Amino acid sequence: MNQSSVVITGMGFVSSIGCDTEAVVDHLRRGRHGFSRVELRQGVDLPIKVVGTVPGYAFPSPDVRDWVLPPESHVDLCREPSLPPHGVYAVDAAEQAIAQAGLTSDQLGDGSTGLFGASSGSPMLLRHHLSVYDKDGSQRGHPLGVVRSVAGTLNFNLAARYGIRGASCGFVSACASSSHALGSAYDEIALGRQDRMIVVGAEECAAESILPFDAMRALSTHADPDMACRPFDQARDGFVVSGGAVALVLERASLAKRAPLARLVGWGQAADGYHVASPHPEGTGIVTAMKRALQFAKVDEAAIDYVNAHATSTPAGDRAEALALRSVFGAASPAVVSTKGLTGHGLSLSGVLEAALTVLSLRGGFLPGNRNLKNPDEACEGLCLPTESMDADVKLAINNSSGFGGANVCHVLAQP
Amino acid sequence: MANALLQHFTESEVRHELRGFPERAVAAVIGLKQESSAEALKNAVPEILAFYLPSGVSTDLTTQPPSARLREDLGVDSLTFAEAAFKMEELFRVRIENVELAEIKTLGELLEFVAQKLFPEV
Repeated sequence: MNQSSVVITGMGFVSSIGCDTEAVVDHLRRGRHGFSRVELRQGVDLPIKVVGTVPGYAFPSPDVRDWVLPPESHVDLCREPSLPPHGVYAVDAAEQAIAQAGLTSDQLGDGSTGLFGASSGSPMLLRHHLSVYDKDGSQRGHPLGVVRSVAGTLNFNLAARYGIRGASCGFVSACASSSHALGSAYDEIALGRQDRMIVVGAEECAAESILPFDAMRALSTHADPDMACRPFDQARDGFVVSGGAVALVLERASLAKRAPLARLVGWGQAADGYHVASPHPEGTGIVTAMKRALQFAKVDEAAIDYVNAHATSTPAGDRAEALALRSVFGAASPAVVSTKGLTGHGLSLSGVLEAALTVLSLRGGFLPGNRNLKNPDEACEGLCLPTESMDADVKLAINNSSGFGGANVCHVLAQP
Repeated sequence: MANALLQHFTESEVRHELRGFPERAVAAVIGLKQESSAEALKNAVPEILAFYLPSGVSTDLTTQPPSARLREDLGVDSLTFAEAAFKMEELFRVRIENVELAEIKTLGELLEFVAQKLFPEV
């Protein structure tokens, strides 16, 4: 391992499939999903009936006094009025990751540690704060309304909470956001600017953040939580949104105090240059992103054991990625799994969530399965798509993400 | 006192507005509703302000002297003050301008300012 090697030393999960590593591994290995039936608007029969909810947490209204947190949460809602719902998730995920990496408050605050965040902000609170401002012509609103609702709220809140004096920034590329954050965090260390980086992705999963995707007809309208999300399957009809947060601690290998969980070997990105919302039909951008990541990491595609696919369960997106994977790997397909069949689509959160799930496979010696994959899309011909979890010595893996505007990111991850 | 302060709220509505506040703060505001006096205000306003103090300690601002400086002595930063002002605007149905807030430096000046807003005839 050379001086610029970047290792992952801490992970934190607050997700639809569990709020600690053991629960998440259990869901992955047993193929248990994190979906529930919900009523997004009380008393209104909306077409969207299934989401990936986070166990133990509830944010039924914009009023912080209605919020429910699990007893193990590190957040004191009375004392942290600037946190949105997904900021609460993010703090609890970051606390797990920081503890696992064994970082001290001195390390967090001495300028050698940076923090990158990725989220869509809190559309629920943005709407609420504006409604208060407009109410009765008062033209008055909560003074923390901006910092708790705009897209940078994660990095505002967490950088202040942990006294971060290094790099602090938010990333906005829709469903590739936290993958860009993770890749850019790698760069900060590899270029010698920082010794360690915390990367946090989070989403609140409220009606305000979900329903705009229904307007795009991008969501599954299936009412059965067991069947709604079906990446790569011919019968897929859209994605299922999920919320939560995942945090990763990246460190320069030579400085890590704890045993590394995995290595982040490199990354690549490329845009489609095609459409504001639709992927290129043949996935040309994701092909380039994968090739750039592998080239940068000096890894031959034949050495890849596992691909954590972006595949969200939309007809167009899954097809484009499947064709891209066939283009890169030819006849020798590694195992390709979309863990969104278990977790749902965490939007900005998904990239770092799936990087963390990939680390679990590298460490635990197993592959998750493609849940609900009965009849693969014909575009998947030749791809190795396991449907059940299995033991496997996963040495090298890639993690794909794609977002609006045709943004594509690929990470290369390895056993330590 | 003629001013029917807080009559726009029932007692239970006051409790709803102050959910999460310590009981003594709730009692002070309900006392203000019942008495509508500048004296009762001296209990209620410091209790509201104390709730927003960033340190999280339950400082008893009701025992602080009027000369106590908000920023230097009590740790009331500008956002804390803005949060407390927003709550008072909601509770008392008054409007507090930025320039008015900026001129208030001590606890005594704050109490006098709110009293002027609520009981202009005094």
